[in-house]
Amino acid sequence: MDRVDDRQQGLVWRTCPIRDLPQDLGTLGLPASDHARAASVADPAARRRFLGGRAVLRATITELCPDLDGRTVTIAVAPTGRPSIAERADLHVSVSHTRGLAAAAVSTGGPVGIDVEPLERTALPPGRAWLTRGEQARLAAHPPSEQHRQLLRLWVAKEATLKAHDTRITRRGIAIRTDRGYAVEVVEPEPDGAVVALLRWEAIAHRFVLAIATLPGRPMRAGPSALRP
Amino acid sequence: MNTDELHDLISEVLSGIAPEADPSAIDPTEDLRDELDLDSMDELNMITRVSERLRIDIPERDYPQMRSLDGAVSYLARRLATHA
Repeated sequence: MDRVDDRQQGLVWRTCPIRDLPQDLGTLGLPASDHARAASVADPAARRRFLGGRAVLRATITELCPDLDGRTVTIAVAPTGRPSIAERADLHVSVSHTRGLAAAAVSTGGPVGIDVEPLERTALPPGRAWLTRGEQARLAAHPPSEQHRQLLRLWVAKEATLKAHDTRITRRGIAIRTDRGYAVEVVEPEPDGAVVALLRWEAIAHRFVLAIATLPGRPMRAGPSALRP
Repeated sequence: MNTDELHDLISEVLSGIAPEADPSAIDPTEDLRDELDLDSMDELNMITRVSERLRIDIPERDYPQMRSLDGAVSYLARRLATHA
């Protein structure tokens, strides 16, 4: 697993390539509850991704909270899909797993959202369904060779923001403003420019884009990624 | 379009998004994201394709009503009735 440690600021996140998981998933050391939930997933590849997500989440919890055994904590999942830790209500967690990679973020300083997508994923929904008009215009200004990467960055940024908020904010109701320190602002229904999240983007091994969102007032260290390219 | 036709349309769209899945095997009352391992991008792709096929707008606030096959059929039937 690769990891980024912002422990001084109460945030740690890790990634885990799915290919690094053992063939026998029973050797991951995950509790029976994780395997029981995985058993409801029909597709074996999806089952591996799910358990990879659980493995990286539990490892990240232990990383940030040495007094807590991440291998045994109870992970609850709300109807919205948001996970929480029964033993530590003050702990905020987020998980993302996609084809090839699982990622998790754990925070003691407030809500956090993480999302990752592979660059090879090309069948994105049409921009009009989830981009603001400003985002569509700025996207069109990029050279065609750059548009796909930019589109994926916008996607993971919005998904990470939605996960951090866990509210009825809509994708088209938030705008990514790269000219203001990667701030995410409300643009609908009232274009008041309220900052609703702060973002950090990562490119992983030239194969994935990943975004982490934390809410305003919550510091996030900028700077180069600790992930190995 | 009746509910059977809506069911077939959604199944056809799902087959394009999750070709490895068998839409006939899913529980129509369960969350499609769990049944077919759809992520949020798959979900939005499904909704936009259904929207285009039926030529109706589906507001983002209504997406939760499309989470199960039965829910999607009921929602779309209501929307089509109001558009008729």
